[in-house]
This record gives sequence, C-alpha cells and structure tokens, in this order.
Amino acid sequence: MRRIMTGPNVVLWLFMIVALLTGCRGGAPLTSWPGLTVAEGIVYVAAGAKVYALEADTGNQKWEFPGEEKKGPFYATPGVEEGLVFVGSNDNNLYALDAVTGNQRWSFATQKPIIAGPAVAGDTVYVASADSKVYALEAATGVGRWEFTTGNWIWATPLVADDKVYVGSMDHKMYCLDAESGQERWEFEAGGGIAATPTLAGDLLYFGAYDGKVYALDAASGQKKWEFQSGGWVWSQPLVVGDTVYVGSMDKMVYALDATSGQKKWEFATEGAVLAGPAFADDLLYVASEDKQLYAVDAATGQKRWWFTAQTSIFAPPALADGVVYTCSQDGRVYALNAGNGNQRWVFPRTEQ
Amino acid sequence: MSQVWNLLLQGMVNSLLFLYDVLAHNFALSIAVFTVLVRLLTLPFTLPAQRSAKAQQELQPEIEKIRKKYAKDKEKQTQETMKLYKEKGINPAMGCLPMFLQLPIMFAFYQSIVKALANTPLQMVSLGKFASPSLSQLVPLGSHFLWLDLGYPDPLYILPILVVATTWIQQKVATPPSTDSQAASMTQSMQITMPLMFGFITMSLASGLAVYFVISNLVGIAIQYFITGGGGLLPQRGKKGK
Repeated sequence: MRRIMTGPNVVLWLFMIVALLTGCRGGAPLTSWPGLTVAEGIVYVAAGAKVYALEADTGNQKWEFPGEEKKGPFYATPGVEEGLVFVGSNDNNLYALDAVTGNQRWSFATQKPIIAGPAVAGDTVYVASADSKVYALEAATGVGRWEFTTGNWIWATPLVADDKVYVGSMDHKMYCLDAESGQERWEFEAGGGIAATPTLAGDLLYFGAYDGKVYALDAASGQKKWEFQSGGWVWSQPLVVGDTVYVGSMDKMVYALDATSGQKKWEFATEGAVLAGPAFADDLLYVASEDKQLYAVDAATGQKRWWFTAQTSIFAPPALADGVVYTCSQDGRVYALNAGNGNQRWVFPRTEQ
Repeated sequence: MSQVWNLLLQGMVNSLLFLYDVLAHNFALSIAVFTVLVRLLTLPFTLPAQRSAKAQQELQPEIEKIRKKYAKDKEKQTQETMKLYKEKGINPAMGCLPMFLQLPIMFAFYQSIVKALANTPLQMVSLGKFASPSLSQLVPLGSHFLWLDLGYPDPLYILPILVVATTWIQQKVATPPSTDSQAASMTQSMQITMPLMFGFITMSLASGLAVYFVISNLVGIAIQYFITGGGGLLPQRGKKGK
C-alpha cells in the first residue's frame, strides 16, 4: 500500500480532493448577482433563481417567479415598463412578466447567459447577451426587430437615449447604435473589457472599463474628452450630478470627478471593491461595497454621514424612492432603509432561511 | 498565512496572463508552458522522493529475504528492514516530505487556472483582485482552442480519455513491478480505478484543467522515466542481458 500512496499518486489524490471541495467546475455559476428596481410602489428583485415583487412600504411579497419550474439564476437587474417586468437570466432567456401577477407573458432565447439588465424605450426592449449580441425586441410580444454583433461577451446593460443605444462589450469597445435600425454610428476602443453601463449627461458619455479608467466621450462622435485612471477595474455605472461624476472602482474607492475635465475632487475609501454605481438624493451619495456596508456620503465633501451593515457583500446598486433607500446583498436579502439616517424599515425575507 | 497564499496565487495568475500575452493569446498553450515550468521548478522537491523510491525499489530483493526470514516475527522484520535502510543511507520519510512541500504550489497553480478562466461575473470579480493592472487588458481571455472552450468541459470527451490514458501510464511508470503478490494485486486495482476516477471527474471540469492534467502527466512520465526507468510499464533498464 505504501507504494501506491507515494510519489505522484499522493499529489493526484489530494488534487482530486481539492477539486471536489472547491467545486471548481467550468461554466457553473457560483451564485447570482442580485439586483433591484423600484417602480410605482413595488420593489422588483432578481436574486438567486427567483424574481420577487415586494410592496415598497412593507416588504410584503406580492408574487415570485418562477413557480415550480427551474429558471435562472439571475444576474441582471429587472427593468419595468408598461406593466411588464423584463429580466434576463443565466439560462440564456429574457423573460417578460406581468408586473401585477408575475405570470410569464413571453420569453426570448439568446445563445448564452444574459448578465446585463434590459433597457426599455417606447415599445422596444433592448437586451444584451454573453453571446456578444444586442437585441432589439418588441416589448409587448418579444418579437425581434434587429440584432447587432460585437466581438465578445456583453455584460453591460445598454443605455438608450436620444434614439441611440450605447453599449459596452468585453471586446473593449463602446458602441453607439441607431435605436431604430441597429446600425452602428461609432465605436470607441478602451484599454480593457467594458462591463459597466454607461451614463449620458449633456453631450458626454461616461463609462468605466477593466483597464481601471473612467472615460468621457463626446456622445455624438465618440471622441474621447478625458480619462481618469483608478487603481482597479471600473465596473460601476458612473452617476452624474451637476458638474460631478461619481464612480466606484475595484480599488475600494469611490471617486468624485469634475464632469468636464475628469479632475479628482475627492475620494472615499471603503473596505471592499465598489462594483455598484452610486445613487443620489438630498445631497447624499449612497455607496454599496463588497465590505457589506451601504454608506451615505456627503456628495459635496465625501464625508461619511451614516452606514448600514448587511450580512453579506453588496454588489447591486441601491435604488431610491420616497425617502427610502433599497439595497440587496449577495445573500438575496433586501433592505429598506430610511434615506436620511439609515434606520432599517424592513428586511426581506423576514425570517432566517 | 492567507496573505502568503494570495501572493502565491497572484504571482501564478499573472504569470499565466503574461504567458497568454506572449504566446499569441493562446490560453491552452499558456497552460501547457506554465505546467512544464512549474513541474521543472518543483523538481528539487520531487527528485528526492523519486530517488528515494528508486533506492527502496532496488532493495526489494533484500527486503523480501528479510520478510521470509522473519515471517513469524513482525517486530524483528521491521527492525531488520530499518537497519537495512540505515546501512544503505535511505530515509523512507524522504519519499513523502518533499511531495507535501510541493503541494501548496500545485494547489495554487490549479486555482490560478480556475481563476484565469473566469466566465461568470462573480468569477471575474475574483480575477479582478488578482490580475495586475498592466495585464488587465487581456481579460476576458480567449478561451477557445480547437474544439474546446477551455472554461467548459470537453463536449467530445477526448480530453477525459487522454487524462485516463496519461494517468494510467504515469502510474505504471511510477510503480515498480512488485514481488509481493498481495501488493501487486492492490497496485493493479489502483492503477485501473485512479485513472478512471480522474477521467470521470474531468468530464465535468473546465477543459483547461484537463489540459493541465494531461500535460502535467506527460511531464511526470518523462521525468519518472529518466530517473527510474519504465517502472511497471516497460522492462526495467539495466536488467536486459543480466
């Protein structure tokens, strides 16, 4: 027996044990990336393998999707428009659900997982997939109108504004497409993959990339106006308030940058990667971090006002409505907090699971 | 301790990314080259074990004599065996200790491949913490090679078959023919079940890891062959003509 358990065999056995323990199977998602949207008094949450509709006032559940069938897991923040909830799934499908009942109206299959959230404008829903394509679908029926192919996965939620669709791809490019036809207007090559949703403010388009930079482009031509180098990948959607761009980075910082020059105004340090875009209301900036905290920061100075500690990391962007900030942590818990002081109003689910 | 581990992982992830950059963005080739480099770098750990195993193997006839001579006295049998080892300057523990010393390196290598092959957002977050900013422009890595998407299992099951074959050969080379029939039977059984188990597990692992297993096995076979000969696979070197 000693002969059997000596030499390379020992290594092989232990390798196998580690492989099994760490569960490092290719392609298998570890879990989901919860996200939430608030619309008309309802919080729509995609977390794990479920989509929930919760009453914003109480946190009471109105419905959940799917029922018994297995769908998901969900990485994408839901989009809500015209009585429909759109949510992309890791099972390659975009689902359109009745916002009142949660019943499925239609689904649209792509070739690979949908990581990005949907964007809805008028009667069209735009969805991007890891199959490298952006699809424009009729919102009411899910019938395809056009599709545009990029050079790699798309994980970033498209932005629709002024009859244009702006979408970043892992092929390092930001594309500007005609919203009606899907024809490319311009493209800009960044120094790394783009997983962050862009933001349009005035004439400038702002976005971050895996090269650690925040870019500002002329939205009409795609010409670069400025760039700012952070110390980590930029996955967070920039937020523009007045003349300031707020953006998080995987270097654990949130930066306040001058919107026209890209000059740093201040920075705020957290203890973990900042993957979510911040939210803003009443002079406060709400910042979620991998360190399990939701921070309320003075938007003018970067001084911390209050913070709330969740049970696990927070990757999802917070949402604000009627003086309440809603946030969802990686374990799928949804918290409703008083936006002024961080006091918890409710948590979903109410009981430990 | 976790900081040391993370540093090791960071070094390996970035070495893989660097190789990917200089090897025409071919991740399968990067894995192959890095596997060879790691196997060569860990030679100082593996060689003493293999030499010790070879020395013990050469003493088998004498050990067999001791077994027969003291068949009814196990304690005496052990004493005489250890005395023989001492006389020949062999430390049986040398066979195991170096192997355990190299384990952290091998584990880190294994994990760094898994990290580099990130294809979900959460895996990518993890990679983002390890990848050097100067190499981040390479992410996501092009994971396609021949018929394979290296982040997913081999749909044609060719790599699992290669893993079975190379694991079997490596075991054959590493295991000398035994004179003890009971040990020989047990060894033979292990030589069949181990490769099959590995092949089965590889069917559900990322094919990039299967590439690593195959290359690692091939390098292991080559090294073992030059040190100890063909083991149970081929007639032992030097015995011909005796």
